[in-house]
Amino acid sequence: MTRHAFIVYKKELKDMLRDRRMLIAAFSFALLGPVFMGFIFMLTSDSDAEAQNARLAIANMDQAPGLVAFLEQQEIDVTAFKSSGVPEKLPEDTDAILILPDTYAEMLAAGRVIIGEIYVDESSKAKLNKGREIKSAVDEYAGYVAGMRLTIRGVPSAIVNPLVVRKFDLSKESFIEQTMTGSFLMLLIMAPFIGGLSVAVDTLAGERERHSMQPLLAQPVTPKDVILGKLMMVSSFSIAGTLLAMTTFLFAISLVPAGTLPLALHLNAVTVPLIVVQLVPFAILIAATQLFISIQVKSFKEGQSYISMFMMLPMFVAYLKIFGSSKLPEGAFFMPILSEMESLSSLIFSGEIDFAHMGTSLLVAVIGTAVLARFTAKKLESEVMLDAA
Amino acid sequence: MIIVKDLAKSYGDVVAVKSVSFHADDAQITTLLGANGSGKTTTLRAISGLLKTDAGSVEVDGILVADDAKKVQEQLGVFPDSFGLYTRLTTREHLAYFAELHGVTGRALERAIAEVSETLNLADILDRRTEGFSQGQRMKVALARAILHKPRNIVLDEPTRGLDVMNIRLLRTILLDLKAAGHCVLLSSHVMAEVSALSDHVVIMAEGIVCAEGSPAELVEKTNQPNLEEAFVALTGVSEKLGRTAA
Repeated sequence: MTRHAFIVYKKELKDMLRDRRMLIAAFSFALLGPVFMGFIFMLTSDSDAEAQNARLAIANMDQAPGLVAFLEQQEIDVTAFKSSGVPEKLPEDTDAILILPDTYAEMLAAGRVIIGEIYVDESSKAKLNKGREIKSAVDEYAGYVAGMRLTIRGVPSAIVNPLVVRKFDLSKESFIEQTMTGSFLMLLIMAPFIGGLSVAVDTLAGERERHSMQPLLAQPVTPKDVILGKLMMVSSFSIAGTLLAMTTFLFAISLVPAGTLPLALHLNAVTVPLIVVQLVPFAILIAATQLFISIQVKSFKEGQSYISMFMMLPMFVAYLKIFGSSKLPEGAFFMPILSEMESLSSLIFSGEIDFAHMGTSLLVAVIGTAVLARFTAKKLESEVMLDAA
Repeated sequence: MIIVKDLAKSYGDVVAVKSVSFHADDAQITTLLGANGSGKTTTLRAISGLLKTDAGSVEVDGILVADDAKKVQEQLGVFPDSFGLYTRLTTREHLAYFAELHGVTGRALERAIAEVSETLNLADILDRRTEGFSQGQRMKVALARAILHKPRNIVLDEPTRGLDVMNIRLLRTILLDLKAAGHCVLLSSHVMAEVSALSDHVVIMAEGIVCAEGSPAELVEKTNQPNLEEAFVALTGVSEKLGRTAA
């Protein structure tokens, strides 16, 4: 860094730190966004039925110890239910009610057909799944009993039950995990965009609009140094916004009761510095991009319009990762922002270093920043910079 | 000393300066006198190293702008056509910023700020943010910014615009002091009274060319006119153009 670039940086930082509106714009997202997301996570964790065992209440449970043992083997939590006619709704902490006749044991011993009733609540996808899981387990038990009876009578159970299929989930993470990890990554990715937005517009488009660019360019300072100083200032805001967002989120997430989240955060002495190493060059790249946009326009308002449009990019990419990652080709994950998210995802949620994506994103950040800063400095040499909007 | 030779500059199809040559000597106040659009600002911007010229050359203290614009800018104090202040910085911070870019730091910087503050009566606004400053106060900050690092050459683009009488008188005194101290002062203006009162050498410009140059008295004498304003009209052919337009 040259002496002139540092002088420009000092002045720019002082100038921007005095604008309360600019500070609010830069850091409100970093402070409030993660808190809001932590709150959403907390709500999600409370209603996270997918992560918990299905819960079944059985009327006349004492009559059916075999069924209870079978269901418990299937990881279904079973409790007794006192029946008084058709239930109007499911009791709290229950996914289904199974009403067995009070002659269940007798009928079972006699080999008669037993008619039971199962009550479920299919008002949500999670409840529907739980109800189906319980019904399926009860049906399986009926098949098991039938098989046992046939075996006792010398008939192989395979005759009536020739195919047994077991289901295994091959997805890396459940939908809810995918949504939560994607949301957290979106937060981290968006933070530098928001942190640098206002200051990037003000430092070039605003400077031009205020007619202060001409006096500055009349000084013995090169456009390269001016841009370097301004890039450092915008980067400072982007980096601070990103690290603040991360810290606030971690604080918010620490308030969620342990074990209730369906995902684990691998934050330790190795991963945290690597996350910072990953995020800092990315924040500088975003700052360089915002400056590049800012120098193309003549006024603060115009700059704000274009940079706000640029803000949609991380959002689109994050949603693409959350909802469409299974449909994307492998190569797509090496694109800017996506490679960043992939690498961060490995670090934060697996505690592993994804060298390929990390290397790609760092390389893109370094080369991208150099190229954009070069073009921005070149544009600053242009005579059009002397005239304001 | 500033020497301009056959300067030409166009912006696309618009010719701003066709051919301008003149010199501004040390210990003199040289004024570019011309109507709006005559090419004064473009000429001063070319001298300040802010423009790439199409033809000709600009030399400041023996250094060609085309060869080393930054070196030239070290020799210049520029008062541009707009003040361009940072409203969130104080006057002192403004001065420190620009002085540091010229390499003035530490004690020297403190001394320079104290001196310029005294010269321009800045004490009451030195530690105030420039937001809400009057036109006169803004002019003072911009002028202080231009002379703080004690450049040999000072270039001012219409410095009296928007100023009241008292501030014009203050500015005039300062420019005369700079001249007395041996500085080369080059300014542009279209205010005849100001030009007459200040200038040792006047360069009259119209439509991107130099129509005439000399001291105010020489120009008046050359045109046989009663004053500089009439001389300017006669030299630039303004009355003829107005006549043609009316016809």
